[in-house]
Amino acid sequence: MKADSLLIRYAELSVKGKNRKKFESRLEKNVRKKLAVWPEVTTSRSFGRLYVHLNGAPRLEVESALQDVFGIASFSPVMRTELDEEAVFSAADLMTKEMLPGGGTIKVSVRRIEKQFPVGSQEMNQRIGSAVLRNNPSCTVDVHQPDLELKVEIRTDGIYVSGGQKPGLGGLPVGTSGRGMLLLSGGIDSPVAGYYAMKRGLTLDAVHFHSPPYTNDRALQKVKDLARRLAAYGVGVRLHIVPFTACQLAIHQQVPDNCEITVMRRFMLRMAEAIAAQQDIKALLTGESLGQVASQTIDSMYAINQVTTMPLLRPLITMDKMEVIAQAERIGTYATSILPFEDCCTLFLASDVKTRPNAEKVAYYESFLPIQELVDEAVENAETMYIQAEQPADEADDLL
Amino acid sequence: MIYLDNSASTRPDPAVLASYQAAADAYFANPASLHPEGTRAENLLEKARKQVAAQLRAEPFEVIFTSGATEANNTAIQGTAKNKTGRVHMVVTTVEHPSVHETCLHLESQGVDITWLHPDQDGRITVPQVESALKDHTCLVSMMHVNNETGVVFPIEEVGGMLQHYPNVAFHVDHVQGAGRVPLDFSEAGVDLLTISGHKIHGLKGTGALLVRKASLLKPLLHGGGQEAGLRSGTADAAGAVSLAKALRLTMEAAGDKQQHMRRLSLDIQQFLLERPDVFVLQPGESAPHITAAALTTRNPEPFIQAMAEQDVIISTTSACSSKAAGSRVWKGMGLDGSGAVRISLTSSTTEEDVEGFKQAWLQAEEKIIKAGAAL
Repeated sequence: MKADSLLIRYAELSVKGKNRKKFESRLEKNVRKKLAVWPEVTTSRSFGRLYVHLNGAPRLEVESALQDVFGIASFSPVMRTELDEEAVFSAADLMTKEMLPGGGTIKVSVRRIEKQFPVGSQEMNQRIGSAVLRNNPSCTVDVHQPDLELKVEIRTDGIYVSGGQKPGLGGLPVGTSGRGMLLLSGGIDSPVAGYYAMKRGLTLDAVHFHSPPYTNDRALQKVKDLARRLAAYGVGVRLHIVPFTACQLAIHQQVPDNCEITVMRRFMLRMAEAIAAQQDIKALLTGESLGQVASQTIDSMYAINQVTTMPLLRPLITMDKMEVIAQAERIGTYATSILPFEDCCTLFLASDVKTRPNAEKVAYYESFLPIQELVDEAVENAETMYIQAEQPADEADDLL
Repeated sequence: MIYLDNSASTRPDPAVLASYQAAADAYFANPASLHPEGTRAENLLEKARKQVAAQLRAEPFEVIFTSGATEANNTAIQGTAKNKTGRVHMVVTTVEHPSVHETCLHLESQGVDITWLHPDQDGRITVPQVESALKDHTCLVSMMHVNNETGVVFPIEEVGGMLQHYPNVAFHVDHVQGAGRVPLDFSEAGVDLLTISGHKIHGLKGTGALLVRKASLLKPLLHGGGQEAGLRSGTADAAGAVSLAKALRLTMEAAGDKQQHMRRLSLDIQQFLLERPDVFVLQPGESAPHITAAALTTRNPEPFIQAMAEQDVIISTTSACSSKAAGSRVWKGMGLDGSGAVRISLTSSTTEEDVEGFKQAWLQAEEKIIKAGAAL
């Protein structure tokens, strides 16, 4: 017998009252999707717990996949035995051998939920502890900071022995907070903003502004790769590629250089909002961090924000660049983000961008542009694709 | 032909050759070019990188494609030395492949402090032996996984675990003979630099890779366009990378079933040789499943392997890379007389019939050479 299942503990779900069922089933669905590469893996729920049954799948790899799923507080390998003392001893012994192959300190914590079981929990603590120590001479007891805490739960349907708890990502299961539209540039910040939005349960759509021929296929590929990386934390990202060249050239011709970026951001928000509305999405997300660049000062945000009434969420607003970079490295987007391809924000960039643009003046400058026409045309020609965590097969795969 | 010199080189897998040809034809553009054809080639190159990484449990950015194991070993060792200022100390065994051994000898002549670890008569190196060789300014331990002449397996995981306590010491492993034969997990084994070669696993010559935990561990040997994370300039060879990735996948997928098979055949060969007169068979404790090392105690091995080749059975004297040297350095390193050393190295597709054919050829060669009075 080996630890053939994993017990998943929910993060935050216990406080969600009537919605709890919805959250639980969503988490189970997300877990199944994440573990779909192992078709033998099954899941089940009982008594407010989610179980993953390995059925032969490699435990360490499954554990590492679970560490990408939001809504999990922690998980532990678990074995279920009959309501029988000898069976528990042997399960606890096997669990110890699997988790502490070189020996170490242990602690046993028994909870007797099934009160019909004849031995009390204190007594069981001692009996299990001494059985484990007898069979594992290199183990000793440490009740304060054990290397392995064996948790034993005596329940009506059997006894559960778990150990080797690992932390999950926390947060809410992706899909339980509705949907959000992320402005995904290809830089370092926006993927991290998307990650934090997913952490609070949002399903992501992403919009990217593409200015061919000034921005090339590689810049686009980079954005797809970033969306794919984000999809690993959730359930796929719907990516909208908006052709931005015509709008950008019109702005460049009409608007003074130092206000160009402000006007451009206003157009981006309008287009993102239009696509969001089509998709019945009720929030926009950006990777803005206060004061990081000229377009992210309070004055700039004020001027840019005028064009939309949708909630504009900025998960990174108070974060330092170094914090964002560290998080980008943790979530695996950094290496892609720093690939040096031009994106539309750096095109035609003036050397003296205003850090305190005047909202009224900006509106005046852009009033000479056919605003609705530019927005409608771009939105109409947007290309939408669904990006999954797994790279789709292409002709190149046959060679490998 | 019964080919039993797979540790020198293997026959390319037809599927690998087909992929190479198709990729070289359809993805010939420079992967660094910005046009769509370049992007296609880059996409293929990156897929190959990802696959190599997945097979060895590494991250894609850790894979640096090279022209083969010699370049990878040189990059690992010289690149580490070049990356250091002040005193440099390295620890290496005396039984490494020439591409490690000669590189270290060269560095030694340039003033680098090298500690040479001698294995015991069974070819073993122990963890305490490595640990006691470490100094304050040690920057690299280089140790092969499977010895190419004797098949001895070094305790890489254990040494890697010990070196976790010495964060300034990088750990390089020449995994050329181990890949696909003796499992090694790059992410778990505590290894910082890992060398693999294509043509030892039914891929093509001119392909190989160095896995690099952190690019900052090394300075490049080749300067130029900054390809391969700046560690190996030169136009990236997408087709070569594909051939390596495919060969590695096919070998690793077959590995699980075939290890026992190769082990059984090797034991059969060893049993046979033990019963022959004037043959010493090396039987180390920890050994790879595909290599049998033996020595003819009274004869020059060369006419003997020629006599076998006349019957279409190919075995070799020690390693091809050392064939120009007199006697075997590896055997000497273990305190043994290796002047009559021969090596029989199998691959996953070696059959029982091949082994039978080998035995017959051996018996006939014995007879022929004794009859000819050629026992030297």
